[in-house]
Amino acid sequence: MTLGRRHFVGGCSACAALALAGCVTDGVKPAPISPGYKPNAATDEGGIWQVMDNVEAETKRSRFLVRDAELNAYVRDIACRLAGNHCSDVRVYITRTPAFNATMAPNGMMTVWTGLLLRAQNEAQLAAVLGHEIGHYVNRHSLQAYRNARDTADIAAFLSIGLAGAGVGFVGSMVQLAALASIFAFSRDQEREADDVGLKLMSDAGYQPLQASKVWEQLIAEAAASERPRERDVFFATHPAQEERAATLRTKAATLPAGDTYEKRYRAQLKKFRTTLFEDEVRLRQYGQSLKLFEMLGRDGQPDAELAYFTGEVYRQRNADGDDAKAREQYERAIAMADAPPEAYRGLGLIHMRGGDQVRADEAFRQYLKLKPDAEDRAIIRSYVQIRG
Amino acid sequence: MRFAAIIALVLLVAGCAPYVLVQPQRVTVKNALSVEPDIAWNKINQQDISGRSDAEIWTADGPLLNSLTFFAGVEDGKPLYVQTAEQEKRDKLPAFRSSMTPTEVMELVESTYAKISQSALTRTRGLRPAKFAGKDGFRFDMTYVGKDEVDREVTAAGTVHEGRLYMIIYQGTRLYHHGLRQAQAERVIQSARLLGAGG
Amino acid sequence: MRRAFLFVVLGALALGACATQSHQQIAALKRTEVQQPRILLMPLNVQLSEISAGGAMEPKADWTSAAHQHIVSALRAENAKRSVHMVEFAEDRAPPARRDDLVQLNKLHGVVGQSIMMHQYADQLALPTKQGKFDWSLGPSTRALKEVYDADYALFVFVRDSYASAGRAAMIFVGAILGVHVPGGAQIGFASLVDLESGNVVWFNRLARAAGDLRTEQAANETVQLLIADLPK
Repeated sequence: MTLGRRHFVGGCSACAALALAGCVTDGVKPAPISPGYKPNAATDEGGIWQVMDNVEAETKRSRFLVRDAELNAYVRDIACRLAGNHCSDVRVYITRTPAFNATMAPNGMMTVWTGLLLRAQNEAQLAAVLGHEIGHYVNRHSLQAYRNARDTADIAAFLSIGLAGAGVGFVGSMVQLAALASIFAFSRDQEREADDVGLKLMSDAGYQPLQASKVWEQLIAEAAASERPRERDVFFATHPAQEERAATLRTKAATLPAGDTYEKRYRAQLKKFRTTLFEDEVRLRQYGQSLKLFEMLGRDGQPDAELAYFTGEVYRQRNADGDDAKAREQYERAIAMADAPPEAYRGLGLIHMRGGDQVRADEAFRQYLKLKPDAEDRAIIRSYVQIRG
Repeated sequence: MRFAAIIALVLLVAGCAPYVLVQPQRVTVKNALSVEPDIAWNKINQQDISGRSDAEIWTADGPLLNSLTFFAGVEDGKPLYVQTAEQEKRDKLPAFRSSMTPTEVMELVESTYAKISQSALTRTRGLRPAKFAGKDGFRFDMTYVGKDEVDREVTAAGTVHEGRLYMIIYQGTRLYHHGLRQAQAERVIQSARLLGAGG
Repeated sequence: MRRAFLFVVLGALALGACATQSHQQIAALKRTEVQQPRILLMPLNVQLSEISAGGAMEPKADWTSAAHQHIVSALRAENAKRSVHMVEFAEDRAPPARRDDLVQLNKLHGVVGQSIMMHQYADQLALPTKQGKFDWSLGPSTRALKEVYDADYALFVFVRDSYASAGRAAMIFVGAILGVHVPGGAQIGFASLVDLESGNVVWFNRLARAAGDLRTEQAANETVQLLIADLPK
């Protein structure tokens, strides 16, 4: 490779010397963003915006995008109420990603993961997370994080962002988001600031501020039940010191108006997606975490056949000592309810089969086929009955 | 698949030949299975990577476009793909159990794919009984979309025999490469025999 | 991310060789006395970055936008010279029901292009069954593009171009004095021509060099000329 290329592009030797001495670190905090703001294309901020605009264009075409108009309108309205006069700068995308997170890119692209929708117990909790992200956005935290990363030369991360830019064909937008998440790792100060902004925004919009601390408390409980090392969890990698934050949020919430949780309308909106959200969660085989999550989702004690069925699925798949009995109990609980999914009978049949109770297994499988005669797996289920029955 | 690309990179750096020719004749796979392909395939040479003596992968047009994966005698308690300690710490794959029904093997495959491709967009269908290597077994189909956003079609066939899982999974891009080698992949599946099992 | 990384590794390995290396499957474009061949230019995949002193790639919006324009106008001029009709991709030209197919085709081309870069250009990753043959295809579902755009071929262009910043250039300079090799900017990319009737990749060219500039019209013209020099006419 030659060295004769593009030397000293618009540069001066003084700057170069400074750069070599490591004096270019830009510790200046950017001013909060004003509504309608667009950066100059020739700046570093302009560069990030353009890459994110391309990521956004890809996201619009992505297979992972949840396109349901009603759900999108619902979440967008929440984001809009929180964003206030930044509303028209915020665009919401819901993606099929079964983990707790929402992100907000510097260009105003907000991404809400389906794992967050499953975990938020009411609209106020969702608003708490979205408000927090808007806090990062308004204060241009990612620009600051980006500059820090650049000046400490996180080569690998930037290499991938540079390559993944300008969209089409090569790398999916989800990969880019993952890369960006690692670049835009926020500092503790930034997280604290976003918490403060988020709490104020949700309270101003009439939400119960106490729900902000509840979200983090639920996450701490879930992470504590995980079989995976905690630091590996996406959430904990980017959001350190959860306990401290939850405590601070709880204290601050006490000084604000009580507000509403809007739990009913949240549940009504989520109803038709719940099966998919549960399926995506169960498929991850994070047994301990899922069981904790399901337990928290059922804390209100309301009859919930679907929740019981999926809890049974987790126990059946984990297959540890004593799990078969627990799975059976959950399936039977589901079946006792009027709106039980037919698959609860299939689960029950598999548990009986595993336990050697052929008569009961056959009975459950027959019931499954009776309730769902066109089931995709009817041929194999029939074979279970024939072999053993 | 992502694994394949990483393996290829490792081998590239190590200076080994990552792809080895498989002739169209009866060949043994992992000393547990034999098959008779009717075209030549490219086997991903994993001999140089320690700890990865599990699945064997063949491809006709490159692992990103289509591949045949052989799971030749997975033991009770083992995942479909052997993981390094680091991978296991990050995201442990679920394990095969000898007691699994075809329903549960299919769930295992779906979860494994979802985890490896870090994608929620997997969908299994058409689970049905079918002979595999002369034994009672199963078949099913699956579609999945990886991070590259390319739709992929998957055909799986296998059996649990004497407590071990024998399975062949063929996958390729939905728009073209799955169909392109489907007949040849089918030939490999149909010709499967278990070694030392009188198959 | 890893694939992108692989791409860079391959690109870096390739930098030692010639600037471009192409595979040509057809001698000439399909052409009749009454009709010029029609090439659909797919959305350009171009990103220009500046390499900071520490080696970080910083995306540059103004350079990238300029490069986009320069490449399109250079291609337009070149095709006019060759009596080839160039159609530009526009998503809204496709009926909504077909848009997803077109997105999938673009994604599919992404993995086919990556496969070509790996198995055709890196000897170490060659597939023994191919025996050096160049036979890559997206399959006949490319006819969707043919129908929507009334085109015979589709041209895909992918370029990653990076430039040393002042700080980086200083490091290269100091590195040279100390005898340490510090990578400067590089131009890596490919162009690919697909026959929309069969889906076959009929021409493919890889670009990898530590020269060229896409930020100005004249220099960008040089890059485009190099990229499509032996594109079938």
